[in-house]
Amino acid sequence: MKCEEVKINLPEYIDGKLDMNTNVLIRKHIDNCESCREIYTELNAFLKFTGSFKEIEPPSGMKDEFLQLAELEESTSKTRTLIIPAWIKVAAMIIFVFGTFAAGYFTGSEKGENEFVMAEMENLKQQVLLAGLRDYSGPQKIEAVYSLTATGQSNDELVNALVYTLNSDKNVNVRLAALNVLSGMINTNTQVRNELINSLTVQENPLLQISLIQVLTESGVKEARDKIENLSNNEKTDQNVKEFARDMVKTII
Amino acid sequence: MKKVTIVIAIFIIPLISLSQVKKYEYTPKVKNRIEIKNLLGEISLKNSGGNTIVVESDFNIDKPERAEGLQLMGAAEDNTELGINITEENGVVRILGATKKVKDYKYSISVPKGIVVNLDYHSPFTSDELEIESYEGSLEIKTLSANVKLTNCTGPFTVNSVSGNVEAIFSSVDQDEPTSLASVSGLIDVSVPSSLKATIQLSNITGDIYNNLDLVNASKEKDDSRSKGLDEIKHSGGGEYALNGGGQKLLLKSVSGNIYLRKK
Amino acid sequence: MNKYILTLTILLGAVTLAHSQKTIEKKIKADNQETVMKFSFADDIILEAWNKNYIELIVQVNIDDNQYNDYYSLELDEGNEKIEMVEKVDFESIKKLKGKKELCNFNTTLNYKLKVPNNLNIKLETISGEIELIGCQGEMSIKSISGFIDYSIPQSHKANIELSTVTGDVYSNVKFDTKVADKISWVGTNQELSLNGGNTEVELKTISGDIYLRKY
Repeated sequence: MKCEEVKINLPEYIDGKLDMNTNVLIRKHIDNCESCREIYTELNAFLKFTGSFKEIEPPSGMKDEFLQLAELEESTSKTRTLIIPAWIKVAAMIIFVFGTFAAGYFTGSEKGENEFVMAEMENLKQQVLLAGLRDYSGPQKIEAVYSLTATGQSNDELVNALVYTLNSDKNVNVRLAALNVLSGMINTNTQVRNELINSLTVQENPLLQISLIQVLTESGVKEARDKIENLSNNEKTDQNVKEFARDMVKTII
Repeated sequence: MKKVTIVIAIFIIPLISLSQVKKYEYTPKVKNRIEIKNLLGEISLKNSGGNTIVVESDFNIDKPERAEGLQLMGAAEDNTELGINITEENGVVRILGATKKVKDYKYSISVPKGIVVNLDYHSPFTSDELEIESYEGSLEIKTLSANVKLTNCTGPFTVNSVSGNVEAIFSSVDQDEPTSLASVSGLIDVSVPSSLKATIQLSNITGDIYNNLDLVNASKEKDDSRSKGLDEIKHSGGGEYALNGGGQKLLLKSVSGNIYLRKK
Repeated sequence: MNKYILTLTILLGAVTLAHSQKTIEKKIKADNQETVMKFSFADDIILEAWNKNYIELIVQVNIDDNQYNDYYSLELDEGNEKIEMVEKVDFESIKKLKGKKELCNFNTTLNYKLKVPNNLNIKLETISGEIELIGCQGEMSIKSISGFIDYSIPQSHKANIELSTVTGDVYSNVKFDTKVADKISWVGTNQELSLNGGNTEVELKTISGDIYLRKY
């Protein structure tokens, strides 16, 4: 087994999620390869450390970083993909916590080159985040969405993350979960209210359109009325959505 | 007298039967995720113990003589002789149907452990049913009108459809990650072992909900002093129910279809 | 302005009772003009690229057992900007001569073989013609209704190939630059592919024919 392959599978290996054969191959490689062994020992220790985190404060400036992600999405093959396994029960944004460790891991544990590492850090952070988000499966992301809210915080960064997920995640079920969580905040948070109204113009999937309309009308959001009407009049809108929209618009006084 | 021996050659035309199955094996560089798209025919998934993704199919088209040495190319180039294109990039293995012809054939895909399978069955040209049996692993499924039937699977799943029905019979339910099943006009029918610990979230607008599980209302408590001492029998926005004390989330949503919850 | 309109009709004055196939041969000077070919009822059309600066055209005609070969003509218009070759078969006259009853067994075979300059700008239209393009590297627009299009592409050719077939299939062994787009077309196969970075525009369109792309 080659070093690249081992490094990529290390998180899963530590997590015990690999099959017998691969486990044996990785074990053999680590026993014989000093550089990989070093990485393994550090990753193991680090993960034990982060595993003890209960609540993690999403870092500031996250909205910008998320928005930049959308641009980075088309990023090239230079991106090294790190698979973040599911046992980190927090949303992808919290990968920032990796900090200097991550830099060392990615550049191949040459810790002497600190300046280079630091300079690469910003770029790598985003790539890690991108990789993390990209590699989470639908169910994992739903778990992340609910875990985030379970921390009890409803600050701006959290809302931004949820709105981003609501508007751009490729998985419809994940977007529904984000909407579910956000709808609980609609009456207490004006930003949420506005973002949900805005989301009406973004969503194209019938499930989301109907759910959004339902949330907005049940919460008596009058400002959404126009947008809902537009949806019901638009030719391209799915029939189910149109009917629902028409019925709901009547209930908005 | 010269005997003329006439030899009659009997041509046994091989039965072009469905049992003529071809195989293609692909070893992913990174075991992370498989995305299946535009594979319009019948798909079945199997768990594999090894490290290789194996696709078996009865795909068989009459390639004209002129096409000798050339590969079929439609929406994607057939690089497997099975009518599909398999590539890997950035940790994602993509299996794409090459042309609409794949609709008439069956594909059986063996997936190594730990790989998430994303099945985009969203094309208007797909078969009517997507049936996955006895599969353990994470699935993300999207369909337009095709019905989805998951039998003897553990999840976790995310399934969404516009008009397809979603039926899931769980042998056990993955406790690490939630399952979300949603359809606009299709019905949702879920069977779980009665000993399961789960938190079931139901959301339905114009359909009905039927149940024979022992559910306990676990909807978030509202700050309503007037409701003290009373049981909530309807919760706005759909309810949340605990089964055997609660556990991993099962999110079920249909707009106009019915929802059925059953003891297995 | 050198413009000639030549109507080529070679009368087979031969006294033989059995009519023979009519063959038309022509050398046409080509100097970067757009070359338009309308071979509507062709059976086979082969265009092969060569280093010379003229077009060599050979047409083999056999209309109904060579009885009506005279009713075939190839209109050739050589202009400064454009060369035009139009196939003309006088079906009306043939119908009058043959009478309506006999039209069932009517058989036309028209085969075109051309050697063309490497970079000739070609516009080819046919109904049922089966087209073979060998090594051509000029700008091309090739259209057929039911005939296949078989293009042997020189490996170093820089091209942007737009291909489309409605009910036919596409077969290829050429490695294109971009990933083949993964949207399944509603109807048939439609692709825009680039080769070696792309440059020369090539359009291959057929309705029910297949398209073959080969390394050459």
